[in-house]
Amino acid sequence: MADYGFFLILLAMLATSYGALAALGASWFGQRRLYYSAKVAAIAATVLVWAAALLLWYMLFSRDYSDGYVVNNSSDDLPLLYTFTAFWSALEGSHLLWTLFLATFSALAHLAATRDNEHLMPYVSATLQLILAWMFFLAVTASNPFMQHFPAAAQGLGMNVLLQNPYMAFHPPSLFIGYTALAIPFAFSVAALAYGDITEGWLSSVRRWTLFAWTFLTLGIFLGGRWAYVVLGWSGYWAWDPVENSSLVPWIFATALLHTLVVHHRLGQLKRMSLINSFLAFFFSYFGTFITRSGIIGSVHAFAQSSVGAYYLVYLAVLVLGCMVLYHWRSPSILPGEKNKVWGWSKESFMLLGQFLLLTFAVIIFIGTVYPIVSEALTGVRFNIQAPYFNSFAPFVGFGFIVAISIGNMLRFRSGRLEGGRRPLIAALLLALPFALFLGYWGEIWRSRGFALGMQVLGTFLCAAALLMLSFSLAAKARRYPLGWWRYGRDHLRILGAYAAHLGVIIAIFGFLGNYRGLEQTITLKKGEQAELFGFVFESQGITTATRDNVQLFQAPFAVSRDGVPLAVVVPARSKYPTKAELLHEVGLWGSLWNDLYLVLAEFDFDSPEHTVTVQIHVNPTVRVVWLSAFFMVGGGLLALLGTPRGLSGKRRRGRLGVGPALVELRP
Amino acid sequence: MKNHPLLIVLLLLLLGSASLEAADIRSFAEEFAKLSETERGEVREVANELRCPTCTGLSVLESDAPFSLQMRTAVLEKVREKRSKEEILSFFVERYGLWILREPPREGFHLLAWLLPCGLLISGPGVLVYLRFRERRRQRRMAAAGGKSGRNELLGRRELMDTMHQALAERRRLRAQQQTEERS
Repeated sequence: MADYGFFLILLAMLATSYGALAALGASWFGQRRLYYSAKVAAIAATVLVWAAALLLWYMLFSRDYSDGYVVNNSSDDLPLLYTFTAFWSALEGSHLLWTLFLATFSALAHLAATRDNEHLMPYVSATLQLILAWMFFLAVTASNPFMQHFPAAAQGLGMNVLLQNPYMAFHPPSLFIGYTALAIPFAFSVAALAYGDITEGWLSSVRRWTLFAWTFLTLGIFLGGRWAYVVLGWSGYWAWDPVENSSLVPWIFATALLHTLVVHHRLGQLKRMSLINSFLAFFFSYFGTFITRSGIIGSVHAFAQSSVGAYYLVYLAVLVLGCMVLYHWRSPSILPGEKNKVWGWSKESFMLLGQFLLLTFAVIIFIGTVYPIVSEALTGVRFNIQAPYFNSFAPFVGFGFIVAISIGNMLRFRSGRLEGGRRPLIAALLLALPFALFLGYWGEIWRSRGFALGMQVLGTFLCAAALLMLSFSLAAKARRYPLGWWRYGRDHLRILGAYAAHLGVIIAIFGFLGNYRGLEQTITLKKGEQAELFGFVFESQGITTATRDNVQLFQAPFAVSRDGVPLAVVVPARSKYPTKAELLHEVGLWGSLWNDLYLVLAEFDFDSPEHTVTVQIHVNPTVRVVWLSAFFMVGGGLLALLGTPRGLSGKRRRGRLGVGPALVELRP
Repeated sequence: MKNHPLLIVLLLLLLGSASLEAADIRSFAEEFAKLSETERGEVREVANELRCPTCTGLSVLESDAPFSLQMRTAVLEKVREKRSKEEILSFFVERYGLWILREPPREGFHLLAWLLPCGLLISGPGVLVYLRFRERRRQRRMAAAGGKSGRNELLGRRELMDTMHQALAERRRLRAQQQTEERS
């Protein structure tokens, strides 16, 4: 069985290699038919890689232990859902998943190409298929999921137990969708440089793909945070771990790209910055894979080391050099915009400020991530930078974002005037004070001291003001709309989406502020004993056992009440998986919108009749607010996607490539 | 190079003093509960600055691994002995090297990791202010040269740009023509 998969991937590699050459030929000679054959190759490769992927799933479900990947990552006791997700639970499979998405999106990009982009498509096709061919090459050499295991094993080694969680069914795919979809803006940027101009259709295509990638990256990052929160048991969702960081950096550049595209759309400015942003976003989506897969930087999420690191290093080096040469050589042909920009009080200035903040944020994360290598090379000490370093910059970056977002959204392009005059601004600032007081009172921020208190007072006020400023300026715009404010939203889905996403960012920052006031205490209770902590009463109900699929659970239910009112029974537990000796944490969670009670079962004595349990009780404020913000951001992304037109479609002209009407009629 | 953390763990094993050996979560929690409010805050603060030697990304405060627990207990004892935060941290650095810290010290080469982001944070608004200044200066110059608020200069740029666009269109037209000729 495994050999069929290998050959399918090999065929896909050959198809994309041909496709890349054909597309290069098509761009060189301007031959439409050659481009069509490249398009067919891209689609064929997609069909082939889907066949290979389905084969891998088939082998996982049929427990075919003659395949090395199946042996290493599954076992007979695995429930159906995790048999499905075992596909991406290790290096080779996740590489295949990445390739699968990349192939699918590149085929979609070919199929969805609009008429006004047809002169770019050969370059786009060549770029995408070169990347794909390389990925397929890796899949048959360094990272092959179809490796014969001879003789066939009787039983698999089992899947990594930390990954046996429902969130793992959605987190990696949505993150990978985001990463791989960033290849399309990249390919379009390369195409624009190779062609020598950014033409009309470029913008809407790149904007749609970037929005799509951004939405799924956002979703993936939040799902990953949620997974860490419920599985790892240290009461946090973000540890500034290298893998987490490397998912954030492409997100940052995708965000930067979305904003430069807006300026590009409205003023025709910042075109070259868009190109650079798309390069960086794509580069960092691979850089993260490189540093974690190669094992040069340790991480919780790192897979076992393999030879794939060296391949990635070569790939990244070629990518960087290629992009730099291409940019240096071709960027002079990208002309500056036709409208002037106004530096000072204008929307474009605040977008530029946002670009600087995003860049700074990315640089901080980058320094923190690669510091072990750099410091080892220069000082001889391998120094790992961890959370405190990032956290000491985070407030400044976060508050900077709030200022840039709130003022930037109120200002108009090319003028210092505010959207709807001064009234929305004054109203927002006046109402922000009671709103912030309410949030502060609700959040009990007076429990903090010193620096943390200052940060929270400032942060709460800024967040409240920003939320109101965004809302009021949108309301002012909607009210002035001739067709009535209720038609405004329907006609401006993109603005509405941006509003939701920005609200999401600010709500998220407000949620992160809660990290400054988490409470934690460890208590030991016998069965039936009570303890009062942080205003809640916890009563231990002993220890029970239960089974869930392949897992045996030791549960320690706690009845939680407040002021005599029973609230919930929270059940922290430890779980025993058949393939692992140690017990894993299953946190007990209960929460209102404001506070999360997060219980971790540290120790328990099942054998004695007293059923003594030691439990860590965390009270985590505003964690739910962070999850709430994800809905706003992802929803905003989807809304904006709906409102972004596809560009010119319709029948393609017969004839030669690259001399279509879009070219000659482009500008007078 | 790769087994560097492992070595440190071994060192930890060797150096672990007798008082640290009996550390477990429950007794730590009991001892911790006996401290005053400010002492607890100190323990948290110091433990958050020390990395858990056996895990990735977590501090001694967050992790319940045996080594973290030992170190946390050591921190607690030192706080009880009224040692300052700096003293406790330098105690651990002397023993295990800088590696045990979670953020780079603000000295020597490591200062770069702090200065670079700070520089960038300041330079963002700085560049914007500079751009604004440059634009103002240009407008003033135009006004001094007799034009009205730099409008002439804008027109000049406009013309230049139109020429560029025309040249580009011409180039494209030529290329297209060439290709058609080749074809026929």
